Amino acid sequence: MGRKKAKRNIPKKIAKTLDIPEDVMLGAPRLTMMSNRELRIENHKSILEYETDKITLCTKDMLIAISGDALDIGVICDDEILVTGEILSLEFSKIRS
Amino acid sequence: MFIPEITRYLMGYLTITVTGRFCERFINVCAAKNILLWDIKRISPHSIRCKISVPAFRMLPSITYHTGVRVHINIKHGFPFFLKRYKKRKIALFGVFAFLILVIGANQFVWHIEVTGNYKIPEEKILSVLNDSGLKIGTLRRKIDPAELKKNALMSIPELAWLWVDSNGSNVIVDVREDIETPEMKSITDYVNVTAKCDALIEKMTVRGGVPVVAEGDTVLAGTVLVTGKIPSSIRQDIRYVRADADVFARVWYEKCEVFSLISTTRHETGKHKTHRTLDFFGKKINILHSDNPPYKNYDLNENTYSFFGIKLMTRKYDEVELQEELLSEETMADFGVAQIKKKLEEEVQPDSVLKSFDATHKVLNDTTIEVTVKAEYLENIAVSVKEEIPEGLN
Repeated sequence: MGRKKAKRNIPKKIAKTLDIPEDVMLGAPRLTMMSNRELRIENHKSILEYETDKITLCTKDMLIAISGDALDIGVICDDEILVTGEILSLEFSKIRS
Repeated sequence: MFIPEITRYLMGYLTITVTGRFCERFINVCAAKNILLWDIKRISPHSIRCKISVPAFRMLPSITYHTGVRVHINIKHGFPFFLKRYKKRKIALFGVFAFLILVIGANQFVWHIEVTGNYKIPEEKILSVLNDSGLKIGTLRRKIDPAELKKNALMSIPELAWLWVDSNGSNVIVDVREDIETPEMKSITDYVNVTAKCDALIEKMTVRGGVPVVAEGDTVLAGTVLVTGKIPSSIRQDIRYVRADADVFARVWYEKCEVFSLISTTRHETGKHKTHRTLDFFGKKINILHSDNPPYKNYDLNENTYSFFGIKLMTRKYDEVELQEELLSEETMADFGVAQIKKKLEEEVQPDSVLKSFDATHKVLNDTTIEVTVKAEYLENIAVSVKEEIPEGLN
């Protein structure tokens, strides 16, 4: 198990050494927020849940839960999603492997 | 944000409602297949509303089948749908095409000619020369040859130094430059005397050339030589002829006498008026419900012209007036007469003259006429240069 974990960490270490952003090298999600009215998430995988008060997104290695009021999806394409509305909280949780 | 919206409008897009238990799955599959969805809104626990482009909508059937949702079109937006709606209205379509052809066709002609840069030469003169050379309202734009027009205009109007014709759409701008008048050349070898313009009493003399014959305080008659260009040499026995030049300021008296009638005719509007309208259609005049004769015997005329794409509407408003004769008082008429004579005098004397004294008298000739006499004294430059012939064999 320890060896597997070490193997998984190699790209992360390379990215850190070469100073390459993780979203480019590892496909980590990049979140850009404009006040609490607009949230742009790059490198998402899929939508797990969509309600007016909660949107749950799946990224490469975590779940992002957005809570708020009157949440809409402004645009969605294969790697980018724009969430609009009054965002009240963001919650991150690990995907169990 | 603005440009994508225009593109979407031009390509056409739809507002759809997706109903089913797996709306999130539908969104995910669309995203995975690179189908762009925007403005996604949850409208009920089992349905969402979103917007999608028309070509992407055609790819939806297989997705809806696999995700188990139903898609319903709510609104069709964009230019293709707008066109489709108006496809059946043939007359409207014909109107649009007729309008386009009219606009494009009308743009091929000259509708307005504007002359700029002229100060002394009247605009009408330039326009009439251009008219003769082939530039007038209604001429085809491509037939305008600026070089030819320039050549003809410069040949016909010698006061013009330069001209160019610029066509800006159906508006033609004629830019002109006027010639600067060449000053009269004065030869320094000429024999010129300075003489008096009129009878006067000399007050001040400034002599720049020649020998003064008269002195300050002298009274001179019109035509008297004031400064001569004939200079006898004190050393040799010959005479030198030069150009005499001087400013001679002298007191000049003017006396004017005029007879004025005490009967004055005044015009009173009766309140009646008529407007005659004439349509000028490319030079052809059409009277609208009237003849050319004025409707009243005595009238005040007010003319206006409205121009629209080569068609002119001329309106002539006739206000009927009543002529009434009234007898003015002697003083009123005398004041009026003095003012009239003074105005005439000021036109007669030189512009830089100074009025020294002014005296006006009047006498009644009979019941209806008075005679006004004005005596005025001005200080003015009376010097007039007169060129003389140099006697044969001299100088």
